[in-house]
Amino acid sequence: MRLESSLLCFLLIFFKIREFNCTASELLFSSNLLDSGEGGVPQFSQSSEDLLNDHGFAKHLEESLSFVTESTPSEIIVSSCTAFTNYYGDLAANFTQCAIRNARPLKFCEHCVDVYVNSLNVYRLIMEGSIMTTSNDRNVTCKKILLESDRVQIVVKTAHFIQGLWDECDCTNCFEYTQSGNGTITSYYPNNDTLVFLDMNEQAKNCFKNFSGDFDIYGQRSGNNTVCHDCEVEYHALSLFYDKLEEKEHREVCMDVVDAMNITRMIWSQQFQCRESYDDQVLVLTLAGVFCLLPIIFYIANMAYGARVNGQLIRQKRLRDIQSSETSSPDESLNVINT
Amino acid sequence: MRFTKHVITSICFNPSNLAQSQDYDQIENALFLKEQEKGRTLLVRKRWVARWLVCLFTGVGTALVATVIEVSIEHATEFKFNVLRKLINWCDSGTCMALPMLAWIAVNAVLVFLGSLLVTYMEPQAAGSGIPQIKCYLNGVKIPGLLTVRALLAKAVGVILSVVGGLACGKEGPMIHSGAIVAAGISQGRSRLFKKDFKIFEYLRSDTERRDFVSGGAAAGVSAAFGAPVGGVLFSLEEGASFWNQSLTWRIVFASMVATFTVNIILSAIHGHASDLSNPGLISFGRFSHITYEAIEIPLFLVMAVIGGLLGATFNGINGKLTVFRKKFIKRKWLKVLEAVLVACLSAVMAFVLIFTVDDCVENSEGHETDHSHMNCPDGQHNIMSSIFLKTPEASLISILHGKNEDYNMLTLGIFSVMYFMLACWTYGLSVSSGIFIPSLLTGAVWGRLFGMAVIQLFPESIGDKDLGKYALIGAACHLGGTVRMTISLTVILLECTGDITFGLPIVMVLIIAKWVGDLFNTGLYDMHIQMMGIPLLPWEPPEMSYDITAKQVMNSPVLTLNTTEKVSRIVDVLENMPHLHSGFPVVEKAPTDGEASPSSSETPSLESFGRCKGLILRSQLCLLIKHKVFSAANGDLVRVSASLPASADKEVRLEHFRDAYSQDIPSVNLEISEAEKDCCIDLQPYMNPSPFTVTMTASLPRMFRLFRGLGLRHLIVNNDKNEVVGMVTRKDIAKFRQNAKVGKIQVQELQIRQE
Repeated sequence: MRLESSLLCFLLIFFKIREFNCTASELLFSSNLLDSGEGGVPQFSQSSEDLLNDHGFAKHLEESLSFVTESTPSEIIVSSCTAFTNYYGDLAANFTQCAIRNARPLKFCEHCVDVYVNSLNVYRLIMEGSIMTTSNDRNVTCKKILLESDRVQIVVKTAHFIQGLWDECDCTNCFEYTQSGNGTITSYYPNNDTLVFLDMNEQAKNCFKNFSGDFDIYGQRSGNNTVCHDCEVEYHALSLFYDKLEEKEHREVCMDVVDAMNITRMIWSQQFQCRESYDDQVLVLTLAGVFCLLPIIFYIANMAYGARVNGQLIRQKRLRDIQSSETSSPDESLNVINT
Repeated sequence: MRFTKHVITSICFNPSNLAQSQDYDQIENALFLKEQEKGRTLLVRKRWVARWLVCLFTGVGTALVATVIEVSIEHATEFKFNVLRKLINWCDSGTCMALPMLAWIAVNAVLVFLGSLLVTYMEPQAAGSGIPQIKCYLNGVKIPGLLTVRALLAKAVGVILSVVGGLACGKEGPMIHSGAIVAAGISQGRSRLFKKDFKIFEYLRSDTERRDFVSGGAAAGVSAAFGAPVGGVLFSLEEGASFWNQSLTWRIVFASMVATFTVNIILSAIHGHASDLSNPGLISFGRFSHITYEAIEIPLFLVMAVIGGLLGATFNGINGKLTVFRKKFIKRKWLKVLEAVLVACLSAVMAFVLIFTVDDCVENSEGHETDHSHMNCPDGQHNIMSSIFLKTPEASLISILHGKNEDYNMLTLGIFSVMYFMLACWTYGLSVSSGIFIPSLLTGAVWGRLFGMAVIQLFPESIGDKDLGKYALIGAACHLGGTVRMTISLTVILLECTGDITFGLPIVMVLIIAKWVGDLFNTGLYDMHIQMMGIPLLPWEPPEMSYDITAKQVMNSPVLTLNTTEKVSRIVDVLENMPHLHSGFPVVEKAPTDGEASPSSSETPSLESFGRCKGLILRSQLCLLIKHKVFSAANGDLVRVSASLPASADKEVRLEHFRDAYSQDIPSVNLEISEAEKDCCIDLQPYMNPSPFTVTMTASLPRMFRLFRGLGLRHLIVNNDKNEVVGMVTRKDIAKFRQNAKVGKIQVQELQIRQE
């Protein structure tokens, strides 16, 4: 099946029927995408790398190409690189779509991890230069074609965008990876903390659900309810767990978790108005008042009882006749040079 | 007198803790000339190398001190605020808010208590930022205890304690003082506190050399503190040094660069990337990469500058009144400590109450509870006030400068700027080690941001780039400029800190305007404090309209003179009983023919003369001569000058001894002088300065002023037309005459000297 699909793919490329390219590459790698499953806990068993590193794949590729197009080798060579870039383009498009669709409420890390890992692996494959082609009877890597042919380097920029988005959300902290020797991610799964958190969050939300009837359409409290009381245990457990998680991860918790927590907190405090009122305002303000009085007392006491020492003025020894005529009023201590 | 032995242990000490003038004038006596004859080339070379070495070590040493301070403060504040934040958040659900409040107060009080104790009892000169004192030192006034290891300890540890203790102060001012101490210490090659003499750089032990190094040290301090080497050099030039030359500038640039570079290396290494040198200074205000401003904003900046000048003048006015009050009423040491503790408590109370009562919440955009608490705010939001207060003032400044527009609300900023202004004003002048740079910048940045918000609300269309960071930066510059009235160095420091040269013009403009506006009302903060310390600082220019004041009016008239060969008993007598105003004595030769001059010494003082001027000898020299007992048996015969002076005197006292005694009080060995020795004589001629500076009685005040200012004189002998001493002018006599610019009227005012 692989052989067929790859053949199909490159035939199509060769004939420059671009509309079909996507389909072809999707065909090529669809098995992987299917493996990862939908949502939930993706277990990515067979990575694209396995596939691409497969000697059979490469061999067949070459064979098929040479078989079909002996007459114009350069065309083919470019095409073999194009196959990868095309596939990468699809992944990037999927990634962008996935990211935007999961922007609000933010479930980006959870839902886009498959396409991210795929894109990462493919990009790495392109960039590590293992894809060799011959151009004008010279061995050239695909990397070279992509990196040294123009100044914009769209593929690289796209890869940076994907990585940047991923890092910005600290998504890495939601997952655990296993990597093969050359850095390719072979499998990944959400780590324990994330699972526990999502579970607890679900519990809290379920608890909230029971009380949603008490609220009118504007989210205002419509009747006396006990949501604040009944869900307190779940909510506080969640909140506490999150705080600990934040400390543990050095405040780089992945954004899915952060956003879920924020939403739950908003619901709790703004929709349900579950805010504790402070009864100790009076106490705090009284204490503050007392402390404010202290310096006033201090200064007044010093003014009243402080030893006010005014040194005597030293008269300069001068010629006598001048001394008598030149006198000026001693001013504030500010204007007096003390010795 | 029944005692056969007379003990003079303490006369050579300064009777009170008063500031003295420095001796910049090279005493060209016989000893000096003798030394000059031998080994000249070698000494010149050695001295040249030593100067550069000292600059290198100064840079490195200052940087080390800076890093220790920086790292300690960083870790200590992180710990403190973590605990407090946890306590506040823990208490969030209950009715125990008094607990974190009291904890906060207690932490502040204890730390500031220690800091104040250290400063007040260990070295009072370490109080405040130290910049006024350094300025005085560089102007030529020696302040006892200013440049000692003790002061360095009190300063560095004190500033850590007061910043961590939550006072409204920064660590930059003290860094300048620390740098100066490091420079002074290294250039001397010894420490009095540890009683250790490393026997290096002995040929650099003079007031002149030391002054140059201190100005380099101050520059290195600035450059280590702000990561602004050029700003440091210019600071030293603008605020500090009164004496400056070109080759010195280059050495100072070197010291500053070394300081910045070393801080970079060490801080980078501490933060785990040793090869990366991108940690400029203890504070960098963060890079403003793309500030754009339009022509229409320039008038707005100028309005801000006027506000800054007014606020700065207000600050100085209030602080001046407060300082006068403190000087008058709070004199005891424990009262000073108590006052500092009270301010620390109130700082905590204010911060807490503001966080507690100002319900100004903002949604956690990041979601990371990094440095704020959500006290009184719904979950998922945080209290804006807490994001300013639960940090060091420095970190707050950086977040105010770089925060996003929606991070802060007008209400919070308004309340904060007013409260912090007053707090900073109250804090400066306490007996703790504290700087004024950061609080001023922070206050300015806050009201600048507020101003920017108002502008955007009023003219939403006309302003292109709506980044409030630039308004915060301009506000900070205006406020600091209006307070300390610096121009060149502040411009360069701000440019170097923000890394944006395109914003140079607005900063220069606002600093000029802020200074002009402020100067209409009072002087800069540092000058004001110098004035209140009562230190006779000589400004750059003599007072205007003072040419009618002549030496005759200014000089001290009955002068204590010594004869060229003087009896020991008289010298001891003079040293013991003389009013401590004088530390130099004209050496005269009584004209034997002038019969009528001596009897009329008290009756007709107007034309009294004290004999022909031969030279000038310093009090410290006299002390040393007596200590080394350079006596000659004269048997009371004062005329026997030539034969009596044996070569033994030269053997005993050489120039090294004088150099050794330099900047040291004569150690309190029990000098015992017997009656027999009292009858001996000392020939002062080989030791005195044979060519002191003199003026005639008709010299005007500006003329004498320029002599003092330009040459760094200590004593100026006034002679009559027969080259006979009639009076003496010292720095204080000159500095008394101040130009007093009341609004619309300029007049010269003479100040009085008060003994305390």
